[in-house]
Amino acid sequence: MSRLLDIKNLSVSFVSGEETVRAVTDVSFDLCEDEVLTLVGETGCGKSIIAHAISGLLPPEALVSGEIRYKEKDLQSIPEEERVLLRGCEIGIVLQNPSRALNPLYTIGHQIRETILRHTEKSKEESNRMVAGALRRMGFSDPGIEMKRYPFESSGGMNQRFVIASSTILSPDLLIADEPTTGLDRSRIQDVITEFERIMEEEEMAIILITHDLAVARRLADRIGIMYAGEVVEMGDANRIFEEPYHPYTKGLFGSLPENGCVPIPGVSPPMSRIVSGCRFHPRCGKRTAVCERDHPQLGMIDDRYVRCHLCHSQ
Amino acid sequence: MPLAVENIEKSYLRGHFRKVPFDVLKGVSLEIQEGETVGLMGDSGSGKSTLARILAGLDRPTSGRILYEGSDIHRMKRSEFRSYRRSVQMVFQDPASALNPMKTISRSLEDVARLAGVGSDGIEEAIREMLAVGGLDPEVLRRYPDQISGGQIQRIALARVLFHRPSYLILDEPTSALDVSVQAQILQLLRTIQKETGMGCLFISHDEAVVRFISDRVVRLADGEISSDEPPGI
Repeated sequence: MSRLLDIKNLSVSFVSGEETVRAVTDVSFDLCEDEVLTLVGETGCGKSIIAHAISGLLPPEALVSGEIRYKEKDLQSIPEEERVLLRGCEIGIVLQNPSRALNPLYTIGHQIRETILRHTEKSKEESNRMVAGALRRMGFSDPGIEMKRYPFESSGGMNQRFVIASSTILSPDLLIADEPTTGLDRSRIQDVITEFERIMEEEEMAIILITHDLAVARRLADRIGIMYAGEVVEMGDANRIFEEPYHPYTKGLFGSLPENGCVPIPGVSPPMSRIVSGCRFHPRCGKRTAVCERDHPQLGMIDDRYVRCHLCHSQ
Repeated sequence: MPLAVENIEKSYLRGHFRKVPFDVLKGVSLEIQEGETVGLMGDSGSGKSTLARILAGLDRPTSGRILYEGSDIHRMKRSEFRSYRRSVQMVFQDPASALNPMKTISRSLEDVARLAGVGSDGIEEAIREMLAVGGLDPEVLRRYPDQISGGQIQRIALARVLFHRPSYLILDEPTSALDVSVQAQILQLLRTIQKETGMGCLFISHDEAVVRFISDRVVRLADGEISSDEPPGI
């Protein structure tokens, strides 16, 4: 598998008044064609900011450093017009809230067709046939009716499937899905998972899936990155990490699941404007030592994965 | 004394232009014992939240009875109904919308104490008690709701309703908007409080694992009817 995306030392911060919010610090990873990488972490850990940075959807006041290379092109330095052409065509994006991603004033058919008309030379009739095909693949038996619907006439789960149809209709090489199952109930989540599984089986597409739902991550991911306070703390093969987490935060996160006894991690995540010195997780870590409080750990290889922890490296 | 609903039906008029009656609940009967946690599950639109609002006395059923201490709450005297509303409290999915964004947490908690009849000299002690119950740092008092995390807001919401020492608590998706580690903190807090106070709970969620963890019994609603009522292990 060849490399599609290469992110090196990506940092994103926002200055608000006298405060600097360091949303993402020094994140590096790559992504191969056909690979599914899941970024997991709690609210505010910076995972959505990474998705927005790759898609070029960060607000203008964001301070970005580092490299985001897509097919050897540095996405930071290409002109905006080129980036707009990539988005929707080569890079598909599914955002968290489908109701906000869809325009309430246009029908579903119009909105999905717009992607095709914007990026290809296809006629309206041909586009309509493509939209109908995409909706049929998405499990809608009568696409003609769905195409005439407005977003308010459909449930959240249906709207999310429309957004996925729209983002994948041109078979992008990279699909970025930011919390595609948040706010949906279990059976709708199942519909979205099934759709992703179909995409993974039938289409040649690399996927970056951002979620805080560990069950969804486990079902879909080839590789997983666990994020805490703007940093990746553990990254590697998803099955191996779920079987045997190394980083104390990953262990705590998995232990918080109801099926594992709901053992909470003490304390709360630090505000991104007041990052602690040393290891960012040390105030909540039961195994911290003096070195954890003093030195910031680097992301280093242990066995089959990358881990950012002094203790794991010293064992 | 158990809290019970008997043969509850609820219909709404639905539609943008032509209003069509829609039956949300079609004859639901359910009993919650003191100290028991009943998990209520069902898809969106199955009638979970409507049943919760009816139980909390925030909405009236089209037909059927809500029985508390043997009396139908909608046939109670005003004073009795007020006491019912204090005894059966509700926590919502998005507690931020239940807190006044223009008031600091301190002011919001003061209001709770005043409404419970606490005099000026007891307010400080009441706020201290609420912070202790919710496991909250006094630092939150000077903050506004948009300056604190979802987990802290949900702890405040819990502490606030528990100040009235309710016999029953209805929780409508209280952890759905929270991260798993914060969810674990809230569920453990709820368990501890329940053990100490012996209150009954109706815990609504669409998360099977959460409901199995917290509940003594799991009731499923489908299309406005109870489709199953069984222990969480099954």
